[in-house]
Amino acid sequence: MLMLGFLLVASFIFSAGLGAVQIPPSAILSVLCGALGLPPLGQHTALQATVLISIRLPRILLGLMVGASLSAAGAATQGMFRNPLADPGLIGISSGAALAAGLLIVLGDRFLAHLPSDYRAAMLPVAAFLGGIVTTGIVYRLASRDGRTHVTTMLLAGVALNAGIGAALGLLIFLSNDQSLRDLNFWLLGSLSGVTWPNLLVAAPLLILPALLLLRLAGPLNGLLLGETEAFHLGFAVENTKRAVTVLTALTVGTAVALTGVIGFVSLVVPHIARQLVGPDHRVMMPAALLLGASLLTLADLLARTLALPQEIPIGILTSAVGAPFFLIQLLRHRAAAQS
Amino acid sequence: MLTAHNISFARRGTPILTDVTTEVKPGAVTALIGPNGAGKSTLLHILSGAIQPDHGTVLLNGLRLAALPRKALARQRAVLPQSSTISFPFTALQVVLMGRGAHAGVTTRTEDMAIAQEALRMTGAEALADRPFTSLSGGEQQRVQLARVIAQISGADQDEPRFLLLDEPTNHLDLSHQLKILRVARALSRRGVGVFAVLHDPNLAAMFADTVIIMTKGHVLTQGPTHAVLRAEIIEEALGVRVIVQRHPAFDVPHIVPVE
Repeated sequence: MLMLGFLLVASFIFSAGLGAVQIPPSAILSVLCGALGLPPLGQHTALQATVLISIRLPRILLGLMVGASLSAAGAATQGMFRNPLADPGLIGISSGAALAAGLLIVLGDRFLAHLPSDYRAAMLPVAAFLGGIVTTGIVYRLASRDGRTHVTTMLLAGVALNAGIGAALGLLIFLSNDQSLRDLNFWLLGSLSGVTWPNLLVAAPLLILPALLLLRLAGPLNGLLLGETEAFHLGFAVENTKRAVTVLTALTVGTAVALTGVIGFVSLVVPHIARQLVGPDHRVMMPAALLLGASLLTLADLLARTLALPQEIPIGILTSAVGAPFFLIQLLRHRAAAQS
Repeated sequence: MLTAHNISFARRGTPILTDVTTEVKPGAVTALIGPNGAGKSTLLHILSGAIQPDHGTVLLNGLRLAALPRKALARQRAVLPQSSTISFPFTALQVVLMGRGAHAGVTTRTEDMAIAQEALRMTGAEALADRPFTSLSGGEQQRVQLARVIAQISGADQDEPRFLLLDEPTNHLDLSHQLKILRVARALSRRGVGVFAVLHDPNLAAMFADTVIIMTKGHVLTQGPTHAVLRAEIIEEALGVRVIVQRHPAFDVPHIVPVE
């Protein structure tokens, strides 16, 4: 856990320092002290201060929070479904958000053209957030009967809804012009660019509070791994736990997707790495996943914006490119261990 | 005392249990036998509180089960499932410690650890403590699960009698493991725990139970002391198999032999 805290600080320093404008650690400290109204602890240029405060810092903070949010939500979802292959995307949060964003991007050009473009840009995250929440709500309702939620039905309903939304997104791509296609693509591959302080401040509580509340469900999630009936016998509030996991995950991941688009594989892979590092006990594994996810997403974003300077690679491509082979290796190693 | 009064339960209009009244005494082993589809597991789930009956009440130490807080209930009764799969690499000791969930904040971590170790020792599974649960054989897993439910109802933080419900605990186990599991259950009953076990094999009931309940088609056919209930004509009526009941060659219990 100490190592993970160290990794977090290191990723912060690297991300803050590297880019088109280099800022050494001492200058980072100096700028931060200046911004907090403390006496400067070193030297920095005005350019360094501007780049750090108005461009890099909000972006890093967003990366940290989104990484933490996706990872905590991934860990909780896998626990709730008792399945290490589960992912918040399975219950429709990401696809619902993407569909809402896609509708606004593609159809907004035709039907909302009279609105100022700033206004439309501000609507985008709100629509995406609502799209994610509504889709998850539908999946949850479909799987609930008589006050009980059947998680297998929830998974299957999510798969079906995701497929339908995939078709709808395909149709939107077919209908879109060059500009909206670019916008849509950028959305589907994810990016942390363009975040502003006001956006960040509005989103921060919605990203972080649900993620931290998910950590409090670690005990019941451990119990759920034994089975729902067993968790009830152990004295856990099974239905409340499932409802809380769904609502909190939808809130935090919905917010993350609304701000950054769909960033793949983080919520699936980070809990796996955390489990390898500290074991499967959610009380330790979830905080570890949260710290690790924050670090890894920040580092991934560092690569996304520096690898192809002055171009920027969509971060979703990076996380999937690294995550997919990693996941396959894990899977094969797991199978080898199971057979031996 | 764990008692069920006039329990009826139907699923989609099909009656599963009809007017069942029975009791599980502390300090004794009560075995429930009967053919498949007699409603045995449903009765166990109703006694555990996992299913609410349509009619009738279940009382645990004189209080209505349905009205007990979840955690208080979990400290007084535990349930051993037929088998469980865990898809994450917990160690056996971690699985046993999960049994202490309802005691969080009541007992200390050191006490929980001591209770878990003692439970593992009781089930002869102390050597498995650090092994991944998923790597254990079926019999070893069941011993660890038994340790988990023992840990759940152990400890000095409440003095009402506790109850352990076993749902066909010997399914898929070899003979040696079947005997081990039931021997531990019987030892627990001698420490004051009320043990209720759904069993398939009337001979296991004969060897380990103080009281036997026989159910068919959602009714209690008969219940009472083991030697009084396990008689040829009753078993034939309940299980539909012609049997001879002898005296067990080694122990003073009935021994049931099918003769068709």
